[in-house]
Order: sequence, then C-alpha cells, then structure tokens
Amino acid sequence: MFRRLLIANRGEIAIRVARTARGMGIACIGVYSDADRGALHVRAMDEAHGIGPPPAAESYLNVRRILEVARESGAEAIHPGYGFLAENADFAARCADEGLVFVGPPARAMALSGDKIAARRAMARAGVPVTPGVDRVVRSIEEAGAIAERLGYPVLFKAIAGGGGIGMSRVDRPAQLRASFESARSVALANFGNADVFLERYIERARHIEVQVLLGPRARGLHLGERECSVQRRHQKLVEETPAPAITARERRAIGEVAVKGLRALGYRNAGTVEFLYHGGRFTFNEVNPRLQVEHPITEMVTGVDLVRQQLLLAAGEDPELSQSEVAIRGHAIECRINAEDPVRGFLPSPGRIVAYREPSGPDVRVDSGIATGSVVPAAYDPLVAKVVVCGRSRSGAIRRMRNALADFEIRGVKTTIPFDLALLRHPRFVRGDLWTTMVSDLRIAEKLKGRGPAEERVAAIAAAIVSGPGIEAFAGRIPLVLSKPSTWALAGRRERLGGAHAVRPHRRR
Amino acid sequence: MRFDLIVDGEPHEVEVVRRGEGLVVRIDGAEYRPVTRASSDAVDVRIGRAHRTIRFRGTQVVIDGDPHAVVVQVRDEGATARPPRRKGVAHAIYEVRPPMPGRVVKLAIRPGVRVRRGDVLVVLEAMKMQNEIPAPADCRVREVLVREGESIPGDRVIAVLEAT
Repeated sequence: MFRRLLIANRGEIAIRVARTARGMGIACIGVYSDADRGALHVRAMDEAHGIGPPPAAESYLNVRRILEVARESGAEAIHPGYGFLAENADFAARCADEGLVFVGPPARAMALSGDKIAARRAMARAGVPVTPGVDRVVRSIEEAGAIAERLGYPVLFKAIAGGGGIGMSRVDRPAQLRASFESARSVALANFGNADVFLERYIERARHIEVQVLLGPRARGLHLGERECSVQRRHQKLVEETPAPAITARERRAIGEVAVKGLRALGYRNAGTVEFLYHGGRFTFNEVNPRLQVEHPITEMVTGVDLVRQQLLLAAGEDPELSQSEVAIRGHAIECRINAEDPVRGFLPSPGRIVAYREPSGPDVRVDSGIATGSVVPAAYDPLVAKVVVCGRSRSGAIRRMRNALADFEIRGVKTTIPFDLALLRHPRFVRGDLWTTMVSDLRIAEKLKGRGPAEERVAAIAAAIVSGPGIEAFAGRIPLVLSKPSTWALAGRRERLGGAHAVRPHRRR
Repeated sequence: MRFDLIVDGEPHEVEVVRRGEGLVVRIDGAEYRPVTRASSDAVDVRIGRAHRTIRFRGTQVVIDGDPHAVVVQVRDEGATARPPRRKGVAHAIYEVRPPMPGRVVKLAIRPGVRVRRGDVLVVLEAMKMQNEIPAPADCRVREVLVREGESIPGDRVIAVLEAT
C-alpha cells in the first residue's frame, strides 16, 4: 500500500478521502488555492501546499503545479476526488508517465468513457441496451432533421464530450431544431472545447438509476447495488437514494451484471458508475461516470463497504475485499446535497462566510462537510458545501430520519438548499416513491417555497421594530464588539479542552 | 425602504414598505406582514400568531429576553432603483449591482451604447453557474466599472446607466 497520497481536490470530498486514507495509515498531502488558505480541508491533511490563485484553471486544474507538489512531497499516488481533474484522461496519463498511481480507471478507459459515442458503441457491442439514438457526430441541421424524424420527437442533443448535465438541449418540434443545434454546439464548445453533438430520443418521465461497480486489476468485478438519482434540477442531482424504490430484486441483479459486463468491455478498472434511464420497465444505458461519485455514501451506508478504501486497494494492485455473494444490502439510505444556493430565489448562488454552524448527528446520520463556523464559501467553485446521509430500516424511516436531521442542521451566513429538501421530503409524490428526472420543475417544488424559517421571521420582527421604533438611522454603521455569539456548547467544549469544566472561569469582556 | 440588516454577523437584505396600518417586510426575498405597536421603551411585533416584544439596549436588540447584535447598512437608493412600470423616467440614473459576488465572464456593453430594458449587460459566473444581469430600463450606458475576467464583490457597482 502507498505511504503517501496526494488529494487533488478541496472541500468535503478532500476531507472524506483523507479520513479513509489516514485510517489506512497513509499520510495525506493536500492542496489549496489562495481562496482556500483557511479552508477546513487544509486542516484535515498531514501537510498542504498552495497551488495558485482562486480561479480553478490556475489552481485545482493546474496539472503542472499539482504534479510538482506530488514530486516535491514524495506522493506515490493521487486521488482526484470528483470534478476538477477526476475525469481528465490526459492527467491520468501524465500521472502514469511520472510514475504516480492515479486512483481511478486507466487513461484509455477514461477517454472511452468521456467520449459519449465511443461509450455507447462499446456498451452496445457488449450487449448493453442503449437509449435510442445515433452513434455518430451530427454535422448539419439537415442531418439532424432526418435523424429526429426517424427517432421521433422529442429528441435531445448531447455533447459528445459532455458531462455533469451540461451541453444537453431538448427539442420538441422541428421548428426548434436549428436553435437547439446551435446552442448545444456553442455550449459544448465553451465548456468542453469540443462542439460535436449527437442525438438521442428524449425519454419523458424516466428515472435516473445508476449502478456502482468495482473492478479489480485482474478484472475481478462486482456491483454494489444501484442508486436512484431522479431528483434533479437542470440535470444536476439534488437528492439520491438506495435501493431504487421502483425496481425488483431480479431487476437489480440483472442490471448489476449488465453494468459490470459493460465496464469490463471498456477495459475499465477501479470504482466506476454506469448510469441508466429506467422507463416503461426497461433500462437503457446513459453514460459512464469514471470516478468516485458525490452520492457514493448512500451505497456505503447500505452495504457497509468503504468505497474509498476499495479504490485505494484496487489502485495498489489488490483485488476487491469482497465478492459478489458477500454483498448484502441492509436498509434504505438517502442523501441530500446541501448547496450554498438560495432555493427561494431560483437557486441563486449564495457564497459568503459561515457565521454559525451546527451539524445534525445521531444513529445512522452521517454528515460529510467541507465547512465550519468561520469558513468562507468562495464564489469560484461548486456550491456543494455538505452532504447529509441517513439510513433507516425502511424508506419511510429514512425519510423521517432525514427530515429530523435537516431540521437540526443550522447553517447561517449563506443561504442553503435545506428548505427545498424539507419541502421535497414532505411532497406526497416523493413520499410515495413516484420519482422522475423533471419532477422538481414539473411539480414546481422550489417555486412554491415562499416563507423561510423561524430565524428569518425573527429578522423580519427586528426590521419591523426598528422601523416602527427608533428608526434605521439609530443603527446605521454601528459595529458591535461581538459579531456572533458563540454557543454555550462551544464554550463548554473549549473549557473542557483547557482542563476540566471549571479550569477557566468565564469572564466578561470589558 | 431598503437596507442590509446584519443580525449576529449574518447579513440580510431587507425591504420595508408601509401598507395601510401595517408593514410589508421582505427578508432575502421572503415576505412577512408584521403588525407593530410601539410604546416608550419597546415595540410589540405580531407576525401571524407569533407575538414578540422587542427592546433596544445600546447596539443590541433584545427579543423576548434574547439579545442580538444588530447593524444597519443603508443602501444607496439609486443603486437598486426598480424598473419603472411604464416608460423609463427620462434621465433617471441606475447603478447596476450584481445579485451576488462572482466573476465577470462576459461584458456586453461599453460607455455610450444604448440598451433596451431586459438586454443582457454582463454575464456573471458564481459557483459554476452563469447569471445574466439585464438592463432595468431603456438606457444609455454612462460608465462601465468592471472588466471582463474580473472577480467582483456583491456590492460593487457594475455600470451606471441613464434612462432614455
């Protein structure tokens, strides 16, 4: 096993990877941009190195600098987390050239996964059912029109180099074809440096179901069940769960085997996910995610398998620690992604400083977080700040546990998606397990959020009292001495650390 | 009336409008209709069924016995002028500010050009999401105060426009 691992990421996922690696006796080397100098993930590492200015292109995507840190710090392997360099085949190849182990699939399998058409072809050859579409680049509007006629509207333009839900454009009528074709191409060019698009039939009211696969260095493979990620907004996942409420044990086994077979056909190794659309009782292949997924903890919750540990073992040349027959799924797990976005205002980004923070806890409640009180959530990166994961014996038990956990989660200073999650968890369609990928917008769940929590009502009362009483001039520009009141729990904890509950007498600041 | 209310270090955008006997208060876009009654040393506030007694003690506001540190930052009224309902008021000056901090990924205006209400002035990227900032009314651009590629804070003036 490696002794030193470089974690080329930030936030909650860097901390999550470090937690497992350190537990395995591996020293963790972190990286940070100028915007993340004081970030929580920096403190979770054994050592950390600055890699450049805030824009990701100059820091977390700066291959030259990251490889330099790896060399100087004596790292033997690099874990990319998700996002940033995680799906960059050139980076994986560069690591191999430098004699570093990239914790992920081989560069060739990653390049195949990243090319949507190549992946579709390989899957179809391996006997995996694929979503109806064309397996070639669509070059002209006339060609697109002919294909769309054949597939039947609605159709979907997809970027061949796309990912993360970007570069997709739905077409309902022939009249929309030209505008969609052009916009899909320009978005693809801007985001992926490649304007090529292809066409698939757009499947309405589909569920998004994906399978977690592990493939050892000698292609010994197994699957760890599925995850349903149908709760999305603009193709971005918001809430995930496992097992998928709609499928049977037989379907689970069948799709699991198909997923393992498909990844083997790509020459894939390490942990990977195969995404499917589930519609009308059948699965069709959507894409391969050649990385650790944001939502991996729900699989860990129900299987008891630490996916990062498996990734590191496989990368070090070992076989998976368990065989297919040893995989047992217990209970039902749900994850809510907590984003620094304001769901009341159309999910407007809400970067800022965290002024108060308290996590939920309890049996079968897990929080993977990248923030604490005093953290700054920069505008330069992804809005995901934390993930709440719960497990229950049944789906309804898990939903109840999640509602309680979210109600206990206090994050002040930035707006978060927690009010949206609570509204979703109360929605009768969600409660019934009736899920589809456009349900959030079809049911107008975010649009129906009007009020906010008790804290905002208190602020409204303060504003009303100031206006009706002394007037705002009386408070203008005054800087109070203590900006935020530390909780008595925090003070008690600090006193304890300083040596017994009564070692330091509380004293008033003058 | 619009201002930022910072309570225990957490900033909130507040808008207060008098309506009849009562008030309409918007906190970060969410609306409340409190009814207030002021006495010599306290203000009683009722929102729905909840009653609160609020007292003022130096820089602190005390709600039902709990003290909160409060600061008000008044926004420049011109800065957030709302688009006039009908035709723009001639020569009204708008200072355009972003709804959140971010990086200017596209600058679609330069001084002197005319824009129509709703035209995109700049595209601001925050947290990997692109947000288009539209013109509040038919205007002529007087000043542009940001550069493409620049990261700007949430209270920065992006451009100064004059209604036409």
